[in-house]
Amino acid sequence: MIEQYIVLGLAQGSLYALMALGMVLIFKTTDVVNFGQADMTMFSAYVGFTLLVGLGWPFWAALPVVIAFGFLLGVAVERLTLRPAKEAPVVSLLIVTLGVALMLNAMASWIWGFDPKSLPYAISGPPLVLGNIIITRHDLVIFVTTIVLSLGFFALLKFTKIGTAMRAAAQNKLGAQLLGIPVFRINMLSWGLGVALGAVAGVLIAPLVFLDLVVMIFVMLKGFAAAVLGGFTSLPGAIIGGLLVGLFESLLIAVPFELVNQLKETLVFLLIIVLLAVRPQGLLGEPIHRRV
Amino acid sequence: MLALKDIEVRYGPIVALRGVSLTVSAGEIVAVLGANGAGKTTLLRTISGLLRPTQGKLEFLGHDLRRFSPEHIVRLGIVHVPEGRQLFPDLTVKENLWMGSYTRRDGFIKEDWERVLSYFPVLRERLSQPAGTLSGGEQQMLAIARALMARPKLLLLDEPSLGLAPMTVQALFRFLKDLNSHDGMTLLLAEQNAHLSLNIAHRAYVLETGRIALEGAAEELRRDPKVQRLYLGAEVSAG
Ligand SMILES: Nc1ncnc2c1ncn2[C@@H]1O[C@H](COP(=O)(O)OP(=O)(O)OP(=O)(O)O)[C@@H](O)[C@H]1O
Ligand SMILES: [Mg+2]
Repeated sequence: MIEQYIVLGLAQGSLYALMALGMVLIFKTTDVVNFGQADMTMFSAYVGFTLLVGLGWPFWAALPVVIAFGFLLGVAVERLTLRPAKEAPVVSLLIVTLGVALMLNAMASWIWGFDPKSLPYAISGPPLVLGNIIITRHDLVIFVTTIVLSLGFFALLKFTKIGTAMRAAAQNKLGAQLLGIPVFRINMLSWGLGVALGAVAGVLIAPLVFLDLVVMIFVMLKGFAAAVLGGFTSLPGAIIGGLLVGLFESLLIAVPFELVNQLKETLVFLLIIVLLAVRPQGLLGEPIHRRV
Repeated sequence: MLALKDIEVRYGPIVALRGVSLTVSAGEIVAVLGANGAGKTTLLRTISGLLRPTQGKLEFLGHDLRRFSPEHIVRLGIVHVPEGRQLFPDLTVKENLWMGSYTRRDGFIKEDWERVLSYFPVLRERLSQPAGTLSGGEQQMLAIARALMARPKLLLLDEPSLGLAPMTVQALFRFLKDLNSHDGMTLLLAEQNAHLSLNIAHRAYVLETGRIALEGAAEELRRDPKVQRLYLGAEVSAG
């Protein structure tokens, strides 16, 4: 029985991990916490809804389009709203991301209305049974997507020139600029990739919940919690944090007390607060040193 | 190669440079001397495009530098080793050097890699070590090596001697001298250490509160009573 909850938790956790990875990537390179991540994810998921339900596309065709949409949305947000305000203090930039969020929310309500939507599973069909564990095909898609994207990201950052330049610019903007590394283009790329990761999480999570204008806020908060748990500057930390949040949440459902089940959201955050009190830098984070 | 004419640079209402004219010819070492706050860093940051002059002309190999972004100026061949080195501390030595050649597409990167490592053999032993774990002297070597990987035509150095032991500083200046005489590298060196700078430079400028107070051949300045009193003498009595 417990194994089943672990599988469920890991599947949920994978999605929080993607969300957290996107937020950490943006934060690391641009110092901005994207408070608009929820609404960008929500909007991308609605685009997925239009493709999958409205136009009847198969999942494998819709996914790349949703990823591309998320990427372009991130690029546009950086280019159109953040770069013009580049001299402003970071707090103002956070507010800019909130402003973008409100705008996207209003646009989504205008295009798709207020009724919750339901999205189809990525692959339908009978679940796989392994001993006493049942894995749905959708969960399988979630696992594969998360593993492929995480490995892809590490390879990008570790082995490619542009990925190394992204890490370089995250560590020292001035140093990067003086070597001819186009820091603004790198910021734009980070935003594109970060929002695209959220978009993937969005279309994968939407079939498990009802898609409406606010549901992604909870996903983002758990992604945020996962990122904080992982140290907020560590990409592997974001993934481990996501899996842990998902697991913990799922195991709370397994507890045979009604009250615990109902308070699971609160308890997830409580756990994180306790963990951070013990280890303020998160699981894999380093003590934050402000750049000057 | 590089020509500044009547440059004025401001930080808001503060005028940090006024009426600065300066030239650097290919193959020269030119030193810019001055006390704290004289405007040396401001001058180098203006040349590399980080600051925009409010007045004056700024030309490099026939290009008007005022039109270019810092990234583009690197591509034109000016590479700036900034104050405080600005390395990527969590990247390895190898990755730092790789980023030095970021803008390049030519076929000589491998060749430069070998050459640069032959200048600084100690870096070769530390290739897979994070740059943040190097000693101060090694970090300064890495900052210069990284800049050389960009294959500069003009290398700007902002107080390379800062924070280094006297022995290390001497070795560093000997290296800069060799880089100029053997490889023909053109250098613009901003320094407070007037004594060593005037030893290796061909010509020098003395900046005082944003203006050029003196300029001339290095030997002349070394003999100049004012320079001796303010920059060379002061160092002897302070050291
Ligand atoms: N960002 C800034 N905003 C306002 N004023 C500045 C700024 N940077 C430098 N200044 C001022 O401009 C003047 C020149 O500074 P600069 O850093 O160029 O001097 P420097 O010769 O490099 O000094 P040091 O030897 O201490 O590095 C100083 O009076 C300094 O206070
Ligand atoms: Mg300075």
